[in-house]
Amino acid sequence: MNYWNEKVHSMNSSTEEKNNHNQVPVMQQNLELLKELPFFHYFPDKSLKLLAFLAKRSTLAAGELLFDEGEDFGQAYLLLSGELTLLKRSGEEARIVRHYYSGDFLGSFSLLGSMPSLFALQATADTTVLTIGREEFAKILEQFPETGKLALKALLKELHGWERKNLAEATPPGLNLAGATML
Amino acid sequence: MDDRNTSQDESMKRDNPSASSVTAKPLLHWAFSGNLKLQLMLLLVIVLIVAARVVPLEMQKRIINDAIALQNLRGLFLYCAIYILAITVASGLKLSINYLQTVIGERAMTAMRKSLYNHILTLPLNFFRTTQPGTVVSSLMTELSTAGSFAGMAFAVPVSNILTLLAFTGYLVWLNTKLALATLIIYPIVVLVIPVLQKKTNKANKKRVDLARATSSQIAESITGIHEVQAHGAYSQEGGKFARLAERLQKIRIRWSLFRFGIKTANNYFVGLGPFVVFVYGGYLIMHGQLELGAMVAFLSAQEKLYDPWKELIEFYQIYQDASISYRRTMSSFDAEPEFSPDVVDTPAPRLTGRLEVQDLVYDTPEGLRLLNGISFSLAAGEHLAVVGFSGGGKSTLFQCLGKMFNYSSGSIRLDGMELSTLSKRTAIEGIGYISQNPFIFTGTIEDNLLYAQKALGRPKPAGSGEETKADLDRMILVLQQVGLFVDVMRFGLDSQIATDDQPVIDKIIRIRLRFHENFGERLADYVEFYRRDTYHVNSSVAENILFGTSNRPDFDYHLLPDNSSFRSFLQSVGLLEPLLALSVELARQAVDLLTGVDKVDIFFKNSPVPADRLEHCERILNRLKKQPLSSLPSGQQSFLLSLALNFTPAIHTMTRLPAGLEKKILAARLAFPKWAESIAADLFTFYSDTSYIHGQSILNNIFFGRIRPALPHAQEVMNQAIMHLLVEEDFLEKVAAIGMASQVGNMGDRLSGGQRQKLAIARVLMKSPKIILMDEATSALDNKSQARIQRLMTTRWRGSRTVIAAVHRLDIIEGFDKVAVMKAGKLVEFGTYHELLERKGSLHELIYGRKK
Repeated sequence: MNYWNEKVHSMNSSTEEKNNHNQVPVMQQNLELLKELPFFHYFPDKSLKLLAFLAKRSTLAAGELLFDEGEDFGQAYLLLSGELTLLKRSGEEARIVRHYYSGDFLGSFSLLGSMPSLFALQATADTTVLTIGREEFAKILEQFPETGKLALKALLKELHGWERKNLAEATPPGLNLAGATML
Repeated sequence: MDDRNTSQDESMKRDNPSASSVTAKPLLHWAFSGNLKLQLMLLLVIVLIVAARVVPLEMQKRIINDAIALQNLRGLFLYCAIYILAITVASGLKLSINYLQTVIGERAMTAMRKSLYNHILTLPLNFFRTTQPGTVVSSLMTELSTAGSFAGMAFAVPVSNILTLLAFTGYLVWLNTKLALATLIIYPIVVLVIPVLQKKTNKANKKRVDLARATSSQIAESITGIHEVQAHGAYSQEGGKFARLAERLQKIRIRWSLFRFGIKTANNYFVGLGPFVVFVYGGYLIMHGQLELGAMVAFLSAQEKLYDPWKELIEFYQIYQDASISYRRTMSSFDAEPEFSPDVVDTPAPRLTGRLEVQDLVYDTPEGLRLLNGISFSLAAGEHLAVVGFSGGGKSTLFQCLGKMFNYSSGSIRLDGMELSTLSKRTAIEGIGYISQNPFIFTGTIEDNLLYAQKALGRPKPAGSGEETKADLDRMILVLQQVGLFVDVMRFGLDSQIATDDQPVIDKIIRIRLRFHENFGERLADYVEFYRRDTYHVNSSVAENILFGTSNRPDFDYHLLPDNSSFRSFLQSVGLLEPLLALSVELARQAVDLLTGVDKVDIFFKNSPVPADRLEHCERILNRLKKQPLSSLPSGQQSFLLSLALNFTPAIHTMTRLPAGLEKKILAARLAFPKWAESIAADLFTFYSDTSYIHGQSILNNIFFGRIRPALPHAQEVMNQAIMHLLVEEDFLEKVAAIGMASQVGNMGDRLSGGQRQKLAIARVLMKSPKIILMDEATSALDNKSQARIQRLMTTRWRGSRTVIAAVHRLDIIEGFDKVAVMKAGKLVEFGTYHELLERKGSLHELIYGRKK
């Protein structure tokens, strides 16, 4: 994570506008960031470049909601700075599922098709994210047909890794919730 | 169909004879009805022109016989003068005949189009299942036009030509009876031959009209289904269907043309025999002293002149045949009865309460498919019913029967105890609001669509009297808020521009701007880049950064500046020209590198400094620059390059940065710019200042006095709230809403999202406040929040006052309804309250929890 924090910090978008000494174009910075993500690891250069071009940077104030339960948000987020919190509502209160910090990449499933979210995502600090929209991603898949297979492969790998990690930590009563990779 | 319904249908036919007889009217009806005066005028002109046509012939004879032969100079001049006068008058009259003919023809065609179109609009929905929109278009626009132009000539051409023929014939007989009879013998032969050929032509023409129609509906089908065609790559399949029809059409058209030309040729041939007879027989008569040479010359030209009206008559005959065929075919294809008479005015329209009883309702399609099979249920006024069930269960058909869009086959639907089929269409429309799953939004403004149903009922928006208009606006705003479209409409309003001379509004916006900066300036600095005289704005273009203002003269608009040589020398003087051109080359290089070879779609190009259609141009310039210096480029290419740099907006065009040092130079240029502008003309530009309005930018940008940074949708909400708050405080909300409602929805609503369209459709029905609301999955495209809002509206505002029947596909919301009905294969399998049905553990239970294993 240290590596990430340094890298991301130097490219923070809110500082970027003020100091123009940094002469690396934003798209180039985006490209460097995307290249590091396992999800895009095998994507051809040109497709990643386009994706870096289409990705958007946004800032969020602490407390802002990125999406709510049931919404089809259709975006993947790469956290550049700050903190996001995944929430699950039950009745009136919301339980915290997980926190995300800079360098975390989430939402890759939502790039592939529409799906109402089972969670809500909230910024819990002033946060900068790089977002990739489903529409843009779909256009990339269309333009570079080989990327479809690569994305699927990356997704499977992620799912597999995720379940293996959970299994290693799971206690017997939690085991009956496992088995996502057997779907 | 049972007896009662049949007799009912018949009574409807009697009620409304005009609608059905549109298609039965003969072609000639259109030529005369409403055009009688014009036709009589035409007749008068025709009589005059026939006279004017005969005069030159007589003059011709007299010039030769009386003037030339007798060396009578005065006579020669007199006869020639009369000759030229007659020809001039004839030409003038011909022009007025053409004019009158055109007027009559166009009037007839317009009348035909209007009545046929009004007839088509009332035809039963079933009719349009088998009729493509393209067929209607080509029928109304193409096929009727032949009929229309025929209607224009229907009277003038035969009358004028027959009269001319008779006049010439009379003149010929008067000149020399024997010779005349000999030449006229040809015409009866022609009259025998041509109808035979015409019959064959007609047969070919009928086929042509039918095939042309089949071809256009094939085109319409492929284009309507273009998504599927492209998705399956079925280009050759669709192309093949079209090609087969087009080839058959080609064959039949060739055949048709052949016969048509056959008629012309046969006619030409026979008529061409005329001079032959004159020479042979006339020559013989002269030699025997029975005919003068002058008379023979006059005879020859008169004989030749017979040919023109004759030819026109034959052509008229052909056009008449063609026109009546396409007219008959067109009319017969729309020869259906409207299911309901639309115009019958009720003596006073009964006020419905919304009580509904459905008994043994059956609906069969004309093909005999039973879509509804004995549906029975009843609802008290103001009760809410959710209809659930499997797709294809007949939900939509039930809704369309309840909305009186189809006549049901048997059974009854009673509104407040009155049979729906006996209520006029108007009463039904007034009392029942139908909202479909894929609502159609009409091209126009939001307001047009909002008032669409209301206007159709003849309750137009009261214009003029200020107070009523205000009440109307308030009502529209209320309805927009109820369906959750208000924020969107406000957004449209804020994104609009206002007229440059609307001073009160401008003053108001400036005031709101100041308050906005006081209250929110700091808080929203992350979302908006505010204009400041001494900072560079990364969300604005280079040109905007230099000018820091907008031009007051169209020839100094942003997009024209690159071509403006004095602006270029200004750039030169502040040392910007070269760095900007260098930046342009860099932008062009990046764009070409990134975007060459990708599809030219908006998603890729909306943030590109080079528009999609200029990419190749860029590539050519770059290739040229490899060998030659920048200065050698033609000035057109230089100004194109310069435009790239002037449009460069760092926050959008992320592939390049503003080079170091350029920012300072641009800020220096900004300070120098007003002086240059002043040197061209006074008041050429209005410079940004926090007390002046920026024309050419949206209301929102004017309130911000800056530009929004690209942000997530939720950031938008934060800003919306801030702005909304201010607008309410400044009493400006309604004005902006009105501007928003006046914004265009695009072609058939394509600027609206699916959710916005559905909301607008619900709002449009609410505006006419019907007692019964039918919602056929009317909220399927809404997100959770909007769905919940509509749900809330139903339970808090409608319960008890409006009867609601909603087809619902999301089972988690049906608990809020008074009753639930489950439909399956055209039958109502369960009906009761939500909890009753769940306890019964029947179909609803199965739908919600799945089949018991």
